[in-house]
Amino acid sequence: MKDVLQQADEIPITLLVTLAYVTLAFLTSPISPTNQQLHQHGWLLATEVSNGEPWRLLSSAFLHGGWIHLACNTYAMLSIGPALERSLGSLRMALLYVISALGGSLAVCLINDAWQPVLGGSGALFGMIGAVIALQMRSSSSALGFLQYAGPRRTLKLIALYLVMGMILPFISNTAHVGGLISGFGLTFLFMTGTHALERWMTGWRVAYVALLSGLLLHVLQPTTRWDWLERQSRATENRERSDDLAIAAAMSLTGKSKVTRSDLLAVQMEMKTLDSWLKDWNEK
Amino acid sequence: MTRSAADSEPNGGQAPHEAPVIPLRARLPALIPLGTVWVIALLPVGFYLLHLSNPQAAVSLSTAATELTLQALFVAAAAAIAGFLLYPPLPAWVRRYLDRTRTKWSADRAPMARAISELKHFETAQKHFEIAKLAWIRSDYALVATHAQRSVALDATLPSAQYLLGLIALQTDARPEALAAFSAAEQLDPGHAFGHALLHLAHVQHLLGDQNSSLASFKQYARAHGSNHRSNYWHGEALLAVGRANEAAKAFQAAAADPKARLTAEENWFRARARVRCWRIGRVEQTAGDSK
Repeated sequence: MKDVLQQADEIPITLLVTLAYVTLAFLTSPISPTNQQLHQHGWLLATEVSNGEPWRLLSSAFLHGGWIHLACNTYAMLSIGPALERSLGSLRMALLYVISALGGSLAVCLINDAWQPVLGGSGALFGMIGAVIALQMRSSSSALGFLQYAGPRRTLKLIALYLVMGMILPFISNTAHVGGLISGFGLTFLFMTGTHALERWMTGWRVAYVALLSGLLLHVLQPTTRWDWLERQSRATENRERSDDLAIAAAMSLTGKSKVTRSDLLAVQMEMKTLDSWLKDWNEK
Repeated sequence: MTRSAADSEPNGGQAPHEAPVIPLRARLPALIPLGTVWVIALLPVGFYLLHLSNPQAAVSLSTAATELTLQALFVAAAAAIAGFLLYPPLPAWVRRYLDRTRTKWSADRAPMARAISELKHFETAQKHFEIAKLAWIRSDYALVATHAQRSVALDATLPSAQYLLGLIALQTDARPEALAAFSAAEQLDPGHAFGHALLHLAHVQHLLGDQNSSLASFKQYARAHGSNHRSNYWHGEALLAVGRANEAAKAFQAAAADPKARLTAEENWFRARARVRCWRIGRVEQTAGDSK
C-alpha cells in the first residue's frame, strides 16, 4: 500500500478507479447492499439499458455486491493496475478500463438473459489482464514467443482458473469476463505499432474495431428484434398504425412465428405486465 | 497504412520496379477475419435501418438469419464429421494447417525487422533474399514476392532467390514463371535445396502438361536424391497423366507406405493423399473387374 501511495502521481487512473469502487460501496452499503440500492446506483440490466438508461453499461463496472466482491476486485486492481498504467500511460489506461468495461457489459446485454442484473469491475479487470497478454505478445520476438516465460504462462493459467470458477459458481458472469478480456486484448493490440507483418492491416483493424463496438452498442441500445423493447416502443408511440406494427413484431420476436394471432399479442402484453411487476417487486426488495 | 520496407527501399537510380499482383486467393486468409468483423459490425446498423421502415420485416429477417445460422452450424458440424470419416486426408490437412500456423506465429520477427531497416541504407540481392525467406516462413506472400523478385533482378545467379521465387510463383499460380525460376535454380546449383528445386521443377512441368520432361526430371531426382512421400505422390500423378496406371499405382503405394516413424506434417499430408489415391484406384480396379 505504501508503494502504491508513493507512486500516486504516476498511477492516477488506478487510484481513481479504486476510489470510485470504495466511494460507490459507501454510497450503497459497504457490507451488504440491497437490490434497490444497487439498482439505483447503476447495476446492469439489459432491458433497462435499451429503455433509456445507457449509463448502466459503465456504472455497473464500478459497483460491487458486498465487501468480499469489493475486496477481491480492489486487490486485483491494485495488483495489475500500477504496472499496466506505467506501461501504457494514464490516458490509454483510462481508455482501456472504459472500453473493457463496455465490452464486458455489451457481451452481457447481447448474450445473457435480458432480465438478469450484473455488476462488478471484473469485466474491466479481465480487460486489463488481456492487455497484459497483448503487451507480452507484442514485445516478444514472435507471437507465441512469450509462452517460454513462466510469468505469462502463469497469467494464462490464472485466466483459465477464473473461467472454470465462473462455470462452477452461478453468481459469476463469465460472459462479462470473456467480453472484457477480448475487448482489452484487442484494444491494447491495436494501440501498439511495430514491425509485425500484420502492421499493414492495422489501420483496417483499428477502424473495424471501432465499427464493431459502435455496431454492438447500437444493437444493445436499440435492440430492434427483442420483444420486450419492441413492446415498450409500441406502448410509447402515439401513431396507432406504427404501434400495431411494433406490437406484432414484438409477438413475432417472442413466439418465433412469422405470423401471429391475436392471442399471441395478448400473451406478449401479459408477459410484459408480469415482467414489469416482477421488476418492480425485485427493486423494492 | 504503415509503410513497409518495400515502399521505401532505394533502387540505386534504377527505374522503380512494379509490385507484383497477389491474387485474391493468397490475400483471403488475412481478409476473411477482417471481413467477418465488418459484417458483424454492420448487421446491427442494417437491422436498425430496416426497423425504422418495417419492424416486422426486421424481426422476420433476424429470425430467419438465426435459423439459417444454426442450420449452417449443424450442417458444418455434420460435414466435418463426415469429412473425417469419408475423406481421410482431412486430419492430415488439419495437422499441416496447425503446423504452418504454429511456425508462422513462433517465427522470430526480429531478424526480419533488422534486415528491413538495414535495407534502407544498403541494398543487396542477399539482403532482399533474406527478407523474402523470413517472410515466406511467416506466410507474408506479398512481401516474399516483392523481395524475391528484387533479389533476382539484382543478382540472377543467386540460386536460393530463384528457388524462393519459384515457390512464390507456384503459390500464386504463376506456373510459367515458377518453371523458369526452378530451372534457373537447378542450373545454377544442381541439387539445390537438397533436390527440392528439381522436385518442384518436375512437378511444375507436370502441371504445365510437359509430361515427358516431368518424368525425366522425376527419374533424375530419384537417382540423385532417392524418394520420399511427396516425390512418390507427385511422380504417381505424372504417370497417371500419361496413362501408365499400373506404375502410378505403385508410386502411390510407395507414397502411402507406412514409414514406421513420425512424419513431418508436410510429408504426412502427401502420405494421406496417397492413401486416398490407393483406395480410389483399388475401387476403380474392382469396378472394372465386376463389369467384365
